[in-house]
Amino acid sequence: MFKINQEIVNQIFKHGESDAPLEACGYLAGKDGIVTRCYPMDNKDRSEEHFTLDPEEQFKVIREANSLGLNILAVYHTHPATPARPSNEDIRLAYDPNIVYVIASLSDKEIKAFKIKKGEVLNLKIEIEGLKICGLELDLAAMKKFGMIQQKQKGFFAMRLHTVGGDLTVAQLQRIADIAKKYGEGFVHLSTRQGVEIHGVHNKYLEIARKELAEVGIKMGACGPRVRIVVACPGEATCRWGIIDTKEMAKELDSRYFREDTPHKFKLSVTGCPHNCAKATENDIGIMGGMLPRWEEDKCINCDLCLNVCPTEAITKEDNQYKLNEEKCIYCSICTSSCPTSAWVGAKTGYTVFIGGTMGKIPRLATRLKALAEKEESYRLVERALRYYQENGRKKERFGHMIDRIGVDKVKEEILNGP
Amino acid sequence: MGLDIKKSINLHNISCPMNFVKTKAALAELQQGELLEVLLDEGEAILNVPRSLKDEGHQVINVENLGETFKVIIKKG
Repeated sequence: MFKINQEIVNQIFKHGESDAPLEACGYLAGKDGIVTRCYPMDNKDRSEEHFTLDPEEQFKVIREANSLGLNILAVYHTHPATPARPSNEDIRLAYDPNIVYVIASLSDKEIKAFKIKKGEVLNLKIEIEGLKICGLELDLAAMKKFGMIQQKQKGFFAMRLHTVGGDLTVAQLQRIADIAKKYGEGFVHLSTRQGVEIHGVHNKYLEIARKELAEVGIKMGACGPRVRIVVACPGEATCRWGIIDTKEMAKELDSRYFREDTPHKFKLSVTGCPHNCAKATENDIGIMGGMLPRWEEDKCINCDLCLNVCPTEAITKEDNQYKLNEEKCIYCSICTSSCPTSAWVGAKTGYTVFIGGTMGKIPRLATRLKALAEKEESYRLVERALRYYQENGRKKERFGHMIDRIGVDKVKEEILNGP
Repeated sequence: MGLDIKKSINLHNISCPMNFVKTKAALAELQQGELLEVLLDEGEAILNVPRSLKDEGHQVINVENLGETFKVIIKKG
């Protein structure tokens, strides 16, 4: 028995048609005897009657499949004008008795699978199945990318949903509740990133559940080495301390980067002010609203409230003159907001960009890349920082650990001023 | 400071929002422009009460740091 999905069969025929009249060839990879991925490759012979895989390409494909936890299960090739059975040439060149040889006949529109041992051909029964999730076959690495996470209970998945800043409409919440009742176990799990997960969904219900969620505008989340959902505090929309519109920025970052592949997981957060409720400094990139204050002497009544509420002692007083130590100021706006006569005013508001924060196994607080940037500048820095990590990060290396490996000053300089 | 303090209350160990409620109640007994002296705790109290008073139209005119508490003078608005 050899299991293969319809989608893969389609891919093999498509490859065959595009290379005809030459034979097309490639690898089929999967797990537990089920083919879930097709790797079309070059036929080095460029022949209508035989094929040879390119060793360099073979090596690359095997490595890629292994990195996704898949094994090479079969070699396929097409017969553009002859039936789907091994030619004498195929039998003679079949060195590996364990691998399956799949042959697709373009003329007969037929696909067959064989094992070939010492010149003896064994015909395998092919079972074509059609389970598709997000247009993908049951391929765990690919499913993680779309927030379908295999549970330790065989056949059951956690559906991780997409949210931005943890906002959901009532209609969406009601639909989530319906789905959790119908296909899950009657409860939802709230993730640490303001997301919602529906646990205990059997794989046969994943696609229908996904479609029903999509009807109310809920997309799937993400797992694995890529940009995860964007966290944000409510920001200036409702919070008296909020300095920036966190929701707008979180949506923009989500639309630009969500689910983009990165060397390791990659987390973005937008927090409205230095109270840092959305933990900008614990994310790979964090944006924090801030306000630089300025003292206006003519309004001041010398009450000393500012001296006593400033959390970092950045305000000092000499000869009835208040002074701000900008090195110490964290742009929190407590002085401007508290001052009874509004003698402390906002001189500048902006977006402070942090890079390289992470919790997890090896926690690291973020490095401040730029204080109080303009909005467009902060978007530019996020873009540059993410691309820098994609180019320089190693597999399973978080952004912050990459920064420490290369050197904080060097990374900051290259992101800020590099080419 | 030689100020004419009309009333004085000790809100040490009184947490938010009761400290603000008690401050407002004390201010209600005063005429506009008269002064109230309040002893507030460090932390949330000194951060929140003066700011809330500002929102209500009263004015802090002096803050003295006594260590774990602050002596705050408020002019009724």
